[in-house]
Amino acid sequence: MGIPVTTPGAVTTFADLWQALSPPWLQGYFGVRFGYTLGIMYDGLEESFAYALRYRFPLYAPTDAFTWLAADRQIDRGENESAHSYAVRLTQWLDLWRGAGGAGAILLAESSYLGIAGLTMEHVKESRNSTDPGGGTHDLTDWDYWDGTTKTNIHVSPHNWDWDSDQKDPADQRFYQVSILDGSAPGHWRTWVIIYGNTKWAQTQTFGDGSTFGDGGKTFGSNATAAEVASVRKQVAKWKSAESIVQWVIVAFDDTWFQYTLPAGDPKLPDGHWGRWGKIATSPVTAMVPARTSTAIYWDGTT
Amino acid sequence: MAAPNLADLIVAATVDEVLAAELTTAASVGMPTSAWQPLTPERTILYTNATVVANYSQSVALLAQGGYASLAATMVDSNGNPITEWMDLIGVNNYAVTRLPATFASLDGTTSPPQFTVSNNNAAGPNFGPFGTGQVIFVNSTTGATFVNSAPISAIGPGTSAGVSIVAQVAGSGSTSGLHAIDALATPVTNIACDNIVAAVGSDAESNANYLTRCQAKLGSLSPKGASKAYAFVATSIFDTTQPWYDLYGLPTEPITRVQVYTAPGVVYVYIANAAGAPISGDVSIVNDYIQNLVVPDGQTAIVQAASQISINFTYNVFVPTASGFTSGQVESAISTALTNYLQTVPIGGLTDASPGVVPWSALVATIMEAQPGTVSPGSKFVAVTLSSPAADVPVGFNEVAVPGTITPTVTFV
Repeated sequence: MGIPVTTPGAVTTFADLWQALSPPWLQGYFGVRFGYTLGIMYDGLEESFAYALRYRFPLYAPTDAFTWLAADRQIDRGENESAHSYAVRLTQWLDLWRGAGGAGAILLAESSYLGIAGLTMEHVKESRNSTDPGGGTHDLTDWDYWDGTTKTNIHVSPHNWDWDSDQKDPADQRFYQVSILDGSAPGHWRTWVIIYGNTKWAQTQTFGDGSTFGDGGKTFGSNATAAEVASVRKQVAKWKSAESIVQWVIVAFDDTWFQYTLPAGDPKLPDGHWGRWGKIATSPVTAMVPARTSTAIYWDGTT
Repeated sequence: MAAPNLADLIVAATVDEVLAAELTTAASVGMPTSAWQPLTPERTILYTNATVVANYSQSVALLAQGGYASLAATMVDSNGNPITEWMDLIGVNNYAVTRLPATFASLDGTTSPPQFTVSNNNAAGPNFGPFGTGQVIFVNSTTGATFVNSAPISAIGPGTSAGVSIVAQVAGSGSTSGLHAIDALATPVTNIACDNIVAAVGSDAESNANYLTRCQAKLGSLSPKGASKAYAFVATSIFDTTQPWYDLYGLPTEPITRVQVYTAPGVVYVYIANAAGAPISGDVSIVNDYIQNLVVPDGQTAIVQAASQISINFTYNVFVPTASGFTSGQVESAISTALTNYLQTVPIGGLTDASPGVVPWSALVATIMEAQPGTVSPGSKFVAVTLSSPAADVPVGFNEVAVPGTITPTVTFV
């Protein structure tokens, strides 16, 4: 005796297929329900298989898959970044990594990570002075400006960025090694990242505000948390060139400071005495005064 | 079915969970589930179905995990052993990076002094040899690991000794042999002895974790701008046959397994080490060729150097059950081998426990305690160990790699 042949109708689920394949004696009240109970388990399995395949693709991934995709693709999700925006960036991982090691990669990573609309930033390299084969001299500062969406490279000549040329300290390799003032080419490995952060942070947590050292998660000089500072520095370390040293991450709270458009010698740019926190002023009296503007805070850079 | 989270998919459903779901479903459509007793046909059919579904659920879990390199790298089977197949698939297909195979432990008999020596202790009589390559088998009598001569052996006269180059017959850390552990010939010859004054180190096939790290580092090499990750990737991937630049500048004698990239003003310092410690100068030169030609952008400078070796001397007293039947020599050899294997996993610059840049003292104690000469059984486990040297965490400089030094053992049977 052969097995009865049943031609199933058009079905889309295992539960329906079970009923369609069942002989008449299994299509009574209990048979139909029993078959449904068994079949729907396979419907669940089928959907799970489908999700298991789709979830590896960023645009189909649930948010709890982002942890693994971030590790796989080495793209960190910004603290304020939407799921869709992050998923799109995850799809661009190969293009993003192709730019690793340059100013554009750092600024793009910080912009994506901080997720502040209209955030402007700058990346400035150590000023340099060179002579081309034709005898022409080039004294310039190499700036990259992030306007919120795109990066522009600007060469300012004569150079307008002078962090610490008056405070050479051979014992401290973070400081200026070769004087730009004597015409020799300075080291070009130092860079600075400037974030105009007043749309995100405020200058709080200063001396005398009632906070105490050791307050959990806080930082000195702004309301940025220690985790935020660590994250910003992590982005810099990940995307910079191995050779460069990011000297400081400067968070500027006054948009008129550090503008690449300012001319050399402008009081709102470093004046060569910024290598240390203080400098000696001779007028009106000789005294130690702050070397850097108090309109910004300075987070350690990274090697 | 509402869209599940990934966390729901990567854990397989159990038979009991599926059975419970079946009973809930059946009750919801009006079936008298409370009347079904165990072993009734209804319960039996549901249980059978639940078993099938639960098995498929495991496939779903593996499929979900296997979609991500970082998750695939953590996959283990029901016994806790790493599953490597998924990571291999992703490594090759998503990153074009191949898992590095196991390496053969070897010793060089041509160094001064030779790393491995064979002595003819007969006062007079026949020479030992000559032998062609592969004709003599030496043994680590504790672990049973065997080695053959990798170059011809000239005749060794009575009362003399000679360096002999050897290589393990089986790849992997199972052939790793600590100092003086390769101590016999497979076929003993009267008054012929052998000894190794340098540890022979073999490495297992690359672990999932290390393989994942190389895959992630590969991303840095996509940029022509000298990203940090590129240095580590190229240095550790010279034996990766998938890379289009494989063997472009020759192959080192041993794979580089550890890299430390350090940025100084204007210069990138790349410190490298292999499983045994600092590579020989020829290997450093080869790695330098790859780094300079494949990673360093024009106008930048990278200096590739061997990591500096720091030898850790050990003085311990291990307490071993007499009932285990182990000999002192077996215990000492097993501990020497275990310490060698452990130190090859410590990165350049050390690990971070309570303080950064150390070889943790507690890890050394644990390594000794777990160094069993034979099969672990309740009666053979070491009772305790007193590790007096080192007596604390061993500091490791950012450019240093730790290797085993002199071992002063005491084995106390209790």
